[in-house]
Parts: sequence; C-alpha cells; structure tokens
Amino acid sequence: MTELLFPPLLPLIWMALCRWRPVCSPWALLAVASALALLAWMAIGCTDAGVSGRLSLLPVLGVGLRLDGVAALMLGLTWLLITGGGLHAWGFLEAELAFRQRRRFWCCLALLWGGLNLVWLASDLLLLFMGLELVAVAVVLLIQLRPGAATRAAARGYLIVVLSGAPVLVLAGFVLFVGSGSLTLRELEPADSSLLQMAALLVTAGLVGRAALFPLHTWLPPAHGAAEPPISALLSALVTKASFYSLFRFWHESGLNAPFWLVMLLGVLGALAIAWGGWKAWCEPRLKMLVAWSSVNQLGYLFLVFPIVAAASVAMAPMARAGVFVFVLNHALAKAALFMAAGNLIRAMGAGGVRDLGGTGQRIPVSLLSFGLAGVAIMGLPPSGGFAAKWLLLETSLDSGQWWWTAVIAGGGLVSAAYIFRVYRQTYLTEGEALVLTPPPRALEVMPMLLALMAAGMGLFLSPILQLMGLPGPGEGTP
Amino acid sequence: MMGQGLLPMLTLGTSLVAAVFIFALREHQHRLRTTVNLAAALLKLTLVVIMGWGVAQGEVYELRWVFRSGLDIVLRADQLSIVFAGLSSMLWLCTTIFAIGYLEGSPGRSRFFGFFSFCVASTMGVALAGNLFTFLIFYEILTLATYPLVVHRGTRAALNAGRTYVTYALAGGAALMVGVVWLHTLAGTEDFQPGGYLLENARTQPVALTGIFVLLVAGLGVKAALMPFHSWLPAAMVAPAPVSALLHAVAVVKAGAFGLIRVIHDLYGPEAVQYLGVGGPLAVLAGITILYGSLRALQQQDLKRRLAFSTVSQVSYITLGAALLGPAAFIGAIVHLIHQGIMKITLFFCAGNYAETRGIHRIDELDGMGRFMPLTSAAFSVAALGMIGVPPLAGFISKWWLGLGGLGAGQGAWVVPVLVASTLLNAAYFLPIINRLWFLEPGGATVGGRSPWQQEAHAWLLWPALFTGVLVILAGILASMPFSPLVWAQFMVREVYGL
Repeated sequence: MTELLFPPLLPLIWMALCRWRPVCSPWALLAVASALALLAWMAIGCTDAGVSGRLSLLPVLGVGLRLDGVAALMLGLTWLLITGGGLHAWGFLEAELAFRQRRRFWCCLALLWGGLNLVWLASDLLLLFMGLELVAVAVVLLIQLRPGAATRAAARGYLIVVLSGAPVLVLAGFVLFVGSGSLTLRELEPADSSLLQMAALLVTAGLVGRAALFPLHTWLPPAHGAAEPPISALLSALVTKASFYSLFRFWHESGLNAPFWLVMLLGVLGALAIAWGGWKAWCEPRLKMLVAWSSVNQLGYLFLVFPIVAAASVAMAPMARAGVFVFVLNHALAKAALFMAAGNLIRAMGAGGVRDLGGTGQRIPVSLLSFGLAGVAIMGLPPSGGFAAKWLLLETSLDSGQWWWTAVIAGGGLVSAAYIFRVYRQTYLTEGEALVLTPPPRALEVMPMLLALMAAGMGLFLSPILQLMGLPGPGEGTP
Repeated sequence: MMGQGLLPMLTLGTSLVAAVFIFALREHQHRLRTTVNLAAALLKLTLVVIMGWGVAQGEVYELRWVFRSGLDIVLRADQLSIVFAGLSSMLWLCTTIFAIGYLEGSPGRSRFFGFFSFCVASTMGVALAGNLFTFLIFYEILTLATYPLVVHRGTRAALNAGRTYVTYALAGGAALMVGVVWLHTLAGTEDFQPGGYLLENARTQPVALTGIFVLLVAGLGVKAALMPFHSWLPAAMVAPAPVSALLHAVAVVKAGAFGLIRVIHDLYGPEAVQYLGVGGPLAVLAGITILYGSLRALQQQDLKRRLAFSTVSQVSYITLGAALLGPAAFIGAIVHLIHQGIMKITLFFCAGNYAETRGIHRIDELDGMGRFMPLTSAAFSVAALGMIGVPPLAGFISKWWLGLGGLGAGQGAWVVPVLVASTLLNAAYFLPIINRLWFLEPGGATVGGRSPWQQEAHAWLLWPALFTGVLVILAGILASMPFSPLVWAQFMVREVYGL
C-alpha cells in the first residue's frame, strides 16, 4: 500500500533538484512517475481491491491506509490532474519562471501529490491530518509561485484559515484518541459521552473552513483568482476536495452519528453557498474570479450529501454517496478545464474581463469550446458527470421525500447556468472585433479540451464508475 | 440485435460526425462544408426511410446503453419516432440547402453549420428516445445546441433573444428533470409503449402522478410554446431565417409537442390521463393558446413576428389533439405535427427570401410582391392557405381530424367553436398578406427593366421553398396514399387505442 504514496514522488523530487535540463524534461519524468504509479497500482490490484495496509512507523497509534473504490477514483483523478495539469502548467509558465521558481514548482507539485494521496488513502485521523497539512504547505507555496501583492495576500488568507483550523483538528484528534482509544476511523466508537460528540464537531469545524463552505469561503476566490490559472486549476480541482473528502470520510466511515442539527446545518450552508457563490459569480466582472466564485457555488452541492444521506433509506444512501463523488469528479475535471481555458483566453486577450471576451468567438475557438463544454458540466446538463451526479442526488432526495433539497439542486443548476451563459453570451458578441488577439499555442489547448470532454461525457460512463465504488453494475437488478 | 441497433446509432451519428467535422473546417472551405452538409442530410434521410420501411414491416430497431442499473439510455425506432424523425430529416435537408444559400458569404459559417448539425443530431435523439430518461437527455442537449444558432448574428438583440430562450428552456428543463426523477422513484423508467404503462400507478398514487404530469407538461410546454411559457418564441425570431425554420418547424417546438404526445399516449396512456382528469385542463390551456396566439399574430406588422405568433397558435393544435384523448384527435395531433412543420417551414423560407432578396421585413412592404417574386409568393400563398385550413391543402386534413376528435371526445361544445374561431383568425391574418402580394400595386421600391424571373430569390433559397410548398399540396391531396402522414397516424392509433 505504501508504494502508492511514494514512487510517483521520487522522479518529481529528482526533477526539482536536478540542474541538468535535458534529463529533467517534464515529459520523460512524468512518464516515469506514471509508470511507477501504475506498477504500484497493479501490485495492489493483484492482491485484493479492498486491501488496507499499515505503516509500521508509528505502531502505537496504529496508523493505516485503506484503498477502496472511492479512494481509487481519487487516486486516479489526482494522477490525471497532476501529470496533465502539471504539464499544462509547465507549458504555460515555463518561459516566465526563473530557475528557482521552476524548482519550487516541481517540489510543490510533488508535495501536493504526496499529500493528496495520503489524504485519499489514510484510514485514520493522524495520517489524514498529516496529509492535509502537507497539502496546505504545498498550496501556500504554489499560490505564491510568482510573488506579488495579490498572491501574498491570498496566500495569507489561506494560511489563516489553515492555521486556525489546525489546532482545532489536533485538539479534536486528541480528545477522540483519549475517548475511544484509537484514531482509526472505523474504530471510533459511537459517542455516548458528550466529549466525543464535541470532538466530532471540532473536526467538522476544523475542516469546513478549508473546504470553503459558506460563510468561511472568503479566502477561496482571492486565492484562486490570484494564482496562475493552471495552478488555480489544480487548487480548485483537488485541494478543496481533499478537505471535503476528509469530512465525508470522517462522518461516513466512523461509527459516529452526526447529530441531526449538524447535518441540516451543513446542508443549509451548502444551499447558501450555492446561492451566494452563484450570485457573486454572476456579478463578477473578471473571468478568472468568475470561475473562482463558481467553485464556491459548486462546493455547496457537496455538502447537501450530509442531510440527504442522513434521511435516505438504506438502499438509496449509497446512491447519494456515489452521486456526490461523481459530482467531485465532474467538478474537478470541469473546473480544471475552466481555469486552464480561462488562462488561455486571458493571455490571448491580454485582459481579464468577461467583457473583453466580446468578439473572440471566431478567433480562439478551441479554448472557447473547452470553456463551453466544461460549462455544460458545471451547469449539470446531460450528458455530463454533473447531470449524472444531480440525477443520483435528486433521486435520493425525492425517494426520501426531502423535496426542499430537490428544489435546491434543481434551482442551483439554473443559478450556475446564469453565470456560465453570461460568459457564452459575451463570446458571441460581434462588437470589439478589432481586438488584437494572440491565439494560444495548440499544445496549451489540448489539456483543457481533454478534461472538458471527459467531464462533459462522464454521464455516459456512470455505470462503470458506480461499479468501481461498489454499487451494482449493469444486469444486477435495481438496488 | 446489434445489427438492429446500428441504424438508430447511425442516424444519430451521421449529423454528430458531420458536426465535429464541420467544426474542424476552416471558414473558407465552402465547397467541402457544403458537400459534407448535404451528404450527411441525404444519408440521414435515407437511413430514416430504411428504418421507416422496416418499422412498417414490424421490425424493431433498438440500441441500449446502461446508464446505471435499472436505468438505460434507449434509442429505438417505433412508429411515432419515425413520424418525427422523418419530418425533421426531410425538412433538415431543405433547411440545409436554404441555409447554405442564406448564409452565403457571412462570417462564422463553420460554427453555424457545426451547431446546426449538432442540433439535428439532438432532434434525432429526441425522436428516437425510447424512454423518458433518454428523451430528457436529448431535450436538454437540444437547448444547448440551438442557443448558438439563435445568437448567431451576435447583435445585442440576438443576444437578448438568446438569453430569453435559454432562461425559458433551462427552467423548463429543470422542471422536466424533477418530473422525470420523481416518476423514476415511483414507477421506474420503462420504455415508451403505445397506450402507456402508468395506469396502475395512477390508481394507487393519483396525487403524485398528477404532480408529475404537471411538471412534465410545464417542462415540455416551454418548448411547445404553451401559453404562459410562449414568449421566448416570438423573441427568438431575430435569428436568421434558417434558424427560425429550425425552431418553428423542424426541431424545437416540435420536440416539445412531440414530447407531450409521448407523455400522454406512450407514458401515461389515455386511460391514466383520463383517470387523473388532467387531459381536460391541458386541452383548455391549448385552446386558450390557440386563440391567444392568433389574436397576437393579428396585431403584428413584422412578417416574421406574425409567423412566430402563428406558430404559438398552430403548435397548440398538436397539444390540443394529444390532450383530447380520442382516436380521431390523436390522428389529428400526429398529422398536424407533420403538416404544420411543412407549412410553417415554407412560410419561413419565403419570409427569408423576401428579407434576403429585397430586404422586406414588414407586411406593408409586401405590396405587389407577387409580380417580382412570383414563385416565392406562390409558395407563401399555398402555405398560408394551408394554414387557414382551405381544402384540399395539408392544414385542412389536420383540422378536420381535430374537429372530429373534439366531437368524439364529447367536448365538441367548445373545441369546434375554438377551431372555427381560430380558422377565422388565421384567415384574418394571412389573407391580407395574400391580398397584398397579388392584388395591390407595388410601392416605390421596384426594380425596373428586369423580368420577374431575374428578380426571384437565389436558387438555393427558392427551391427549398418551392419543394415544401408542393409538399403542402401533396400532403393534402394524397392524404390517403400509403405512407402518407394520415395513413401512418391511422396505423398507429390502432395500437394506442387497441382498435
């Protein structure tokens, strides 16, 4: 199991340290990293899909890893986005970065990859928190890759959220360990004492800030708006998901029962995030900030899963859980594509306003089409993964009679459509045709298009994804 | 089985592949683009004809793709799908020719024709959808595919029309989606079947099924331009004429009307709709829309706007026929689905010809046009007379059956007067145009010294209009020939109503 964590990192670290250019061609090294990851993957696949290994480093605490379908999906997603997104970022930024910055970029990418894999695989709180902290360090450094007032302020904002959350998490972990004698998620006993409940609430409180849940989202738009677009792509696609994933694992894998008011609160805050993020995105004059606000809007959906699952029948609850992870995949791919395409567009226009898009329609078609396809996935229209995810969530909420969440999900799609179509609309405008455009190189248009196509077509491949998550596949009857 | 699934997939795939290919073309590759467009349109028409022939022989063409366990994406050609697929593939060919002529030399043709093909691919999906879930998927994709066409001109007016259109269409799509999911949780999603499959559920859960029916009708009613949801359609007439043809005759409003027929006859089934008592209110709503659309059409002085309101009114005939729940009314609905398409596309082609050839947009500029553009004006007049319902043209056939349906459903007391009133209103807004075309003296804008034939529209614009104009006549005269829409509808009604 541990081999999944480390081999991919070695080539990246080497690349980061090495000064000899020809060998550290990012293509070659990422290929090596991918091959190693694949080997580790196959080694595990040969044993059993549901294996869980243990690190012997800290035997006292019993830290361990777990690989299941969801973790496997997240590992695959991370591999795709780190290698693909990394290469895209390299192509986008190479010319502008000094040698030290390049080295920092690859180091941070390695750190991010390792930290994320740790989060996906960790089956106990200690490793989970370690992974989250690694990710946080990588994020702070990546945001500031090109120092400036805006990036510094953005990194500071993120750091404040992380630093104020970290002690809360540590305290919560300590209380949980004392109370239940273990940090392994599965072994956390159902809490009778209010102390355990309190600790569980603390974990939630410590994580929602990083997951940018309304009203603790304020750090996100400046951070994702200020970082370089390909880096924002990674941050919004993967990093925000890590915190949500941790929270989800914490409540759904441990034996703790989330109190009713808490799940409802998470759901209501999620609904508010959908509305507020959508509204801010709709009002936003800058393209990259619009995409960033869209993240606040989209992350809100994730939190609807808590109340929906809590009230769902035993048969339907796995559907909603699967639905939310399809949503995670969809948003990760689509948002990465949006940021990359937005980066291409902004660079081509030499300006970052939504209004500046007027008259670009015919002249940067590939990037615009990527943006458009990713937008379809964000709006949750078929056949995107967003549509499939919404279908599963709607089905569960209607099945258990929670029509108010139905209304939130259906209405939320219209909110997203409002800000996405605002961008589409500008691109069709024929005013401003005299604009001087420098179309992006073809190589930079590949990755956003690929990711957008994957997101927009994901709904057609829902069945294999569900199978990977352990839900009945084709021909196994209705659940 | 795979061989049988191939045809629906190819039918869908032809225009999809054409769309991707056209997107990749450069702006100036005019000849290649035209070839691809026409080849795809012809190929699709051939495939639909083959499928139609097979379906008439009792063949089943079906393609299944598992979305998740218990929920499939189904493409299937049955008799009703052939009606819509045949209509749109036939008219798509005409519209493609017309659009090539119309957009000659204007910018953004690759984008336009790419989305144009994409739009038709999704229309085919709507037609061939074998269950409600598949229908929902293509119905939503259709919205996305038409938006770029509506805003194609890129002017503020076009963009605002596009905004109105997507606002309505996406809100309708959301309502439809909730309805489809809700129905799925109650009764599962089964394949459409003549006569429907929800009677049992309607008996046990009448309230929920009524709610679902309302959601579905609201979602479909948006595209079918049913009364409170109709205003996007007149707004969208700022789009280029081929797009109007697509919206009004081939794809969008037809997808809504077709969906209503599907829901009432192949999903709920006439008995269940009868049991729930939701058919009557829908029919009344359709009746109100018919009269309202005609009244508004009467007030318009812009030719395309008048035609747009006329569509609002005419499409509701289909809804009315579907909601009246009788064999005759059902025949009327199916036949009108086709006949309205042929007539309305002719009218929009002609309106496009006037606008493109002589810059005429307003009705009062049409004076004496019959002398300058005799063929276009003849096609226009035939289609307009057909719309009024003058025998033996296409519109007469459908109105006749709708009237019979109204009597048969025991609602003759109000349906027949509505039809009569609407016919009078149709005459009131079409006859003055015909009068202006042929009997009034031309205004100042005449082109002297050239014969009328030289002043006619360009051949690419003229021929589609003439062809569909002739179809309007043939559909009326040959209504009882085999494979005519009427005979086909009579063939279908036996299955739905078990006659």
